[in-house]
Amino acid sequence: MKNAVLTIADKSVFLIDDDPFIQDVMTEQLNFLGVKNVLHASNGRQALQMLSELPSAPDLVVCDVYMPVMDGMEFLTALAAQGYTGGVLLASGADALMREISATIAVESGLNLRGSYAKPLTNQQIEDALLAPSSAPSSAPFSAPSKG
Amino acid sequence: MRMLVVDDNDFNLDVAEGIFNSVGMQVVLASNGAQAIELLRQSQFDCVLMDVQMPVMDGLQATRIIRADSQLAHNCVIGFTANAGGEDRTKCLAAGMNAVATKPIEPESLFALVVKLTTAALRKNLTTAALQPALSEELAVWDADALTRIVGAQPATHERLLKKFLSTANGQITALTEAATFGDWLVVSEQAHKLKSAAKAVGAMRLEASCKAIEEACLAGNIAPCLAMAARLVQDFSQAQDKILLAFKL
Repeated sequence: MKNAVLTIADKSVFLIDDDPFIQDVMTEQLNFLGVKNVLHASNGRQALQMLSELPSAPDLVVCDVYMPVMDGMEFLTALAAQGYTGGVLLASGADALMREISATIAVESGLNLRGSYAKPLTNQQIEDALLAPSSAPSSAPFSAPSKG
Repeated sequence: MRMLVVDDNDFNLDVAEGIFNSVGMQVVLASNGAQAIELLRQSQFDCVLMDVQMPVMDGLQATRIIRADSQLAHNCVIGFTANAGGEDRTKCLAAGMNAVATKPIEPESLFALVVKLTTAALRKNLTTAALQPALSEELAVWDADALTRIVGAQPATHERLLKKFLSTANGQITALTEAATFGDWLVVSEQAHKLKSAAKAVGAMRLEASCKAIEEACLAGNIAPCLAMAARLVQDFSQAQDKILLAFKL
């Protein structure tokens, strides 16, 4: 995993979650994994605004499903419409059915979905999503493990 | 998705029909509670959007009849009122509505509410094994290694995150118990939903299970056990808090 960790250090991650505590935990988690470039937004609308102002798109967008102002599903559709080609990882407190519905929306919008899991994500889930080939078609498994 | 919209005002019905049709939902319209009940007896709907004040039979009376009829009780009913003040809201919830939305229709929040409630109802039909409080006895009150697994063995970071968790969670617990007292089960489910992921992240596994159980019960309209579940949740939090405070000598 040494090489993997080195590669991870170059990656940028955009977190979207309305819960400040979860934002905090996930930022610490990403830092621990070696990701230094972490940005976050509290809802889909704020995220779209920030993304449009970034000089280059992040390697991975980690997104919650239920959020105020603009929820995850609406955000994913808008993100796809903007032509975003980086990875997308769904991390939600929603139940398995809602996670699957969101995952289907992401895939059908043409996004490069790297997984749809229950919060909090494990380090393995984040590493796998970060290290998946960037040109990979959206064929990544997105069904959540039976025990989130 | 098939919606039943009940309102005595034709303009409101037109607006609701347009909004739901625009996202591909089927809409059937009724102009009072009695008509709505007749339609519910004839066919299946995923969700009922019910005005409160109507001639012939108002929304509160119609909801009471729906809840009292074993053939109809499973229906998801969202109250729809211009007076979303505390009193109207309380009346709607007391009559057995699952949630209350405010006029005029705000499409985004209404869609979110409909999706949330209908998937909960769908899940309730899929599995009845949702509530197994006995299982949670085997879960850890607080698993001190949970944070290590995600942010590494960094005591200072753990302490900072755990303090933040306790202060946030205390606020959520207060909001949750207050809402439970008023019977505002949608707010209870929202607070439990937020607390659930945070509890899991810090390793308060029993609390996570309590949050999950009450969230599911509230959304599915299974209100009877919710007060007891809320008390249980508060207890699980308080035990986790004691362990955390002791471990960090806070």
